[in-house]
Amino acid sequence: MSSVFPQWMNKLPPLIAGGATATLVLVVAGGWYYLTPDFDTVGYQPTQPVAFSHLLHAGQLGIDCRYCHTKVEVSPHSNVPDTATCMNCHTGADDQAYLNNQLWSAHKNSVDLRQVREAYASGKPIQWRRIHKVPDYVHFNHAVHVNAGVSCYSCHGRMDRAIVAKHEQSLAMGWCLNCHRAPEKEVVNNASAAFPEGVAGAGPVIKITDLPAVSAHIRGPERETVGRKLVEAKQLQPPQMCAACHY
Amino acid sequence: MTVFQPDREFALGRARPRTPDAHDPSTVDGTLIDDPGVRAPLVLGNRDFRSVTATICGWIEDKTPKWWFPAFFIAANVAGLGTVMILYLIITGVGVWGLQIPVAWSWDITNFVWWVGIGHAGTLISAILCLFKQKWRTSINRFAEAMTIFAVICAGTFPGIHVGRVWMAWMLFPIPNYNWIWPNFRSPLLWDVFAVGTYFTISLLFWYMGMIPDLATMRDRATARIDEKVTFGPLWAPHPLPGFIKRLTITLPANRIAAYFYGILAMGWRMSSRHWWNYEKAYILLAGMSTPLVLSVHSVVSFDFAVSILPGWHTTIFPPYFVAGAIFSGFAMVLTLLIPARALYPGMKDFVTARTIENMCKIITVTGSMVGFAYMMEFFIAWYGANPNEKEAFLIRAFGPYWWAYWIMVTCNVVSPQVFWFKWARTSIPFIFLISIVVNIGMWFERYVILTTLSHDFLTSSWGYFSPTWVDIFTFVGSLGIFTTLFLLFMRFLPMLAISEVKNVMPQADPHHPMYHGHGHGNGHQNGGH
Repeated sequence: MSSVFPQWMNKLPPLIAGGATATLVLVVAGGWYYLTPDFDTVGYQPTQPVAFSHLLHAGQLGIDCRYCHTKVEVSPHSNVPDTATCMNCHTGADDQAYLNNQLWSAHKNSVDLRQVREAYASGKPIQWRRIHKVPDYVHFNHAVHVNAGVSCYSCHGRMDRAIVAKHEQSLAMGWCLNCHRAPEKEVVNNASAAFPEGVAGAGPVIKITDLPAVSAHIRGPERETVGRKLVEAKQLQPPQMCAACHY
Repeated sequence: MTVFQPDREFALGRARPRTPDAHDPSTVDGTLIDDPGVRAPLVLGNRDFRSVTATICGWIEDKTPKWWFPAFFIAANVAGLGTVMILYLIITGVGVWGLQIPVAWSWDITNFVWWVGIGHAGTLISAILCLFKQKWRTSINRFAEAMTIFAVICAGTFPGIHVGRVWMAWMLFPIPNYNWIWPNFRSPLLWDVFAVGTYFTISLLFWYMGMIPDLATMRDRATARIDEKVTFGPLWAPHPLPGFIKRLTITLPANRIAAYFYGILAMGWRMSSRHWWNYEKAYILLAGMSTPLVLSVHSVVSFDFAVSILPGWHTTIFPPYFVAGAIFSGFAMVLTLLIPARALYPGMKDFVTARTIENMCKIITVTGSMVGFAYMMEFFIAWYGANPNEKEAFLIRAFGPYWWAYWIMVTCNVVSPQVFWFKWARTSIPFIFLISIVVNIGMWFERYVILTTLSHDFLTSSWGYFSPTWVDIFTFVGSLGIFTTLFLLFMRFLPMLAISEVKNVMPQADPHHPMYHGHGHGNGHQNGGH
C-alpha cells in the first residue's frame, strides 16, 4: 500500500495537539489578565481641564470630602462641585478689595485658577472628565453605602494622597459582590443617623471621610471582630439579588 | 454432526427449499419470512465482501447522481433562507417572532424539542440495538447517527437564538467570569445545556469513531488511483463539449484530494489487529455510554416543562412520555430519509431490506402506542387528581382555542401508527413513507400543543393566543433546509453504510463458513459437516 502522507507527518498530531493546548492556555490566561476591568479600567487617570489636587485640598489642608461632594450622604449620586464651591475660597478679588479686608482669595493671581474664575463669570461649567462610570443598567447609591459605614476609601482609595484623581478599583460586578457577600471586610464604625454615637463596643468612632484613619483601621488587626460586630449591630444585609442594582 | 446454520445455508443457496415463504410474493424481497426457524438474510444479492465495499464506496466515488444537484441547490437555498431569518432575528430582536407574554415559548422551543427528539433514533439504533445484538441495525446505524448529529445541530440552534442577546449565550455555560455569577444550577434549563451537550459530543464521537475503518477504506481506494485527474464541468453539458463550455471546465487531482481528505479523517488506521481490538473495545464502551443518554437526554428536556409548577406541565409522566415520543419521531425521520435514499442509490435495497423497514415500523407502532397511552394517562390523572386547575388545563388543551392542534396530534401520533398492525401497511414502501411524514408532523404538533398551555395564564385577563409570524415559519423551514443540506453532504462524501459492520453480519464472516477466508478456523467443522 502506497502511503498518502510522508513519514514526517507522523510528528504532526502531537505537535498540533501540543500547539492547540498551548494556544488555549495562552488565550485563557491572556483573556484572564487583559480582558478584565482590573487591567483596562483600574488606573484610568485623565488629565483634567483644571489641575485640581486632592492631595493639597483634602490631604494637606484637611478639607472634608463633603465640603465639595455635598450630596454624598443624601443622594444616590455624589456630585462634582460646581464652580461656586471653588469660589468660596478662590474669589480672585482684586488687590484693593483684598487690602480693604472686604474679600479674601486664595491664590488670587494663580494662572491655573483663571479657568475657574472665567467659568464662574460666564456661568459655563468646567468640563471635568468623568472617571468613575458604571453602565446604565447598574444603579449605585452613594448615600446608602456611606450611611451604612462604607468609607470613600473602600472604593476610591487614598484620595487625600492623589495629585491627579484616578480609577482606583475595577467596579466590576464581582468586585461589588466581594463586599456584598462579606461586608465585615469594609464597614467602619461611623456616626450615622441611626447610630449618632457609633456602635458601642466596636472600637472608636471613625469619621467616614477620614481616609488615613479608615485605611489604618480597615487594615488593622481587630478588623475581623469589629467588622462582624458592626454588621450585626447595624443589621447590614447587603442584597445579592439581581434587582438590588439592576432595576 | 450437522448443525443447521440458517445463515450458512442461505449463503450456500441451500436454505431455500426449507423456506417455502421465500417464494411467496408476500415476503417481498425474501426477507419477510414469518417462519421463526428461519433467519432472514441481512444482505441480499449473493454479495461477497468485495462487492459490499465496491457498492458502498461507489456511491461516493461514482459520478454525482443527477438528482443530487437540484436537491442540494434547493436545500442549500432553504438553509440560506433560515440563516437570513436568524440574522434578522439577531439584528432586530426576538420581537420578530410571534412570542408575546403569556406565550413566551412557542415555535422556538417546539422546534428545539422536535429536533432533539428526532435525534434519539440514531442513538437507539447505534447503541441500544448494538448492545441487544440486533444485527439488522448494521445497515442503518451510520445513516441514523448522521441524522442524530444534524438534528441535534438544528435543535441546539433554537435555544441559542431564542435568548435574544445571542452574544450572551456563553452565559448558558458555567464559565468563570468577572461578574462572579454562575448559571442557576437548580434550573432544568441548565441541565438541558449539559444533557444536549453531552449527547452531541458522545454521538459525534460514536459516529466518527465507527466511521474510521470505512474512511481508511476510502483513503486506500483513492490512493490506489491517486494520479488520476477528474474534469469537472457545468452540469448536464452536451457531449462532446462545445468550445465555450470546455473553457469553463476545471481539471482537479480529485483522487489526491480525496486521499488527503479521507486520510486525515482516518487518523492513520492501518487495519492492524491491534487497531481492530481497540476499535471493538471503544465501540462497545461508547455504546454503553450512549445507552443511558437515550433515556436521559429527553428526560431532561421534559424537565424544562415538568419541573415548572404549571398545570398541564407539572407531571411525572413527562420523562418517559417524552423519551417514547422521541424514539417514535426519530424512527419516523429515519424512514423519511431512508426510503428515498434506498430508492435512489443502486444496490442499497440489498442492505436495507424490507425486513429492516418492517422492524422500524413495528418500533413506531410500539412507541406510538406508548405516546397514545401517555396522552390518555394525562387526562386520567387530570380527572383522578381532582385538581381543578389541572383538569381545566387539559380540557382547554383538547377543546380550547388550540383544539385543532390537539386533534391533529392525536390523529397523527395515536391513530396513524396503528395501521402498522397490518402486514400490508408494514410492507408497502410508499405507504410507510407517507406515515413516517405524518408521524413527524404529529410529533411537531405534540410539542406545540404542550407549549400552548402557556396561552392559558392564571388570570383570565392575561389569556393570550399565539400566532406565528412569517419569521417564525421561515426559521423553522430554514432549519429543515440546514438539516437536509448537511444530510445531502453526508450522503455524497461519507460512507452511508457501515461497511465493516455490514460485512460482520454476512454469512461469510462466520469462521465456519466455507467462503470464510480468515486464518486457520473451521476446517475440522467443515470436514465433519460433509
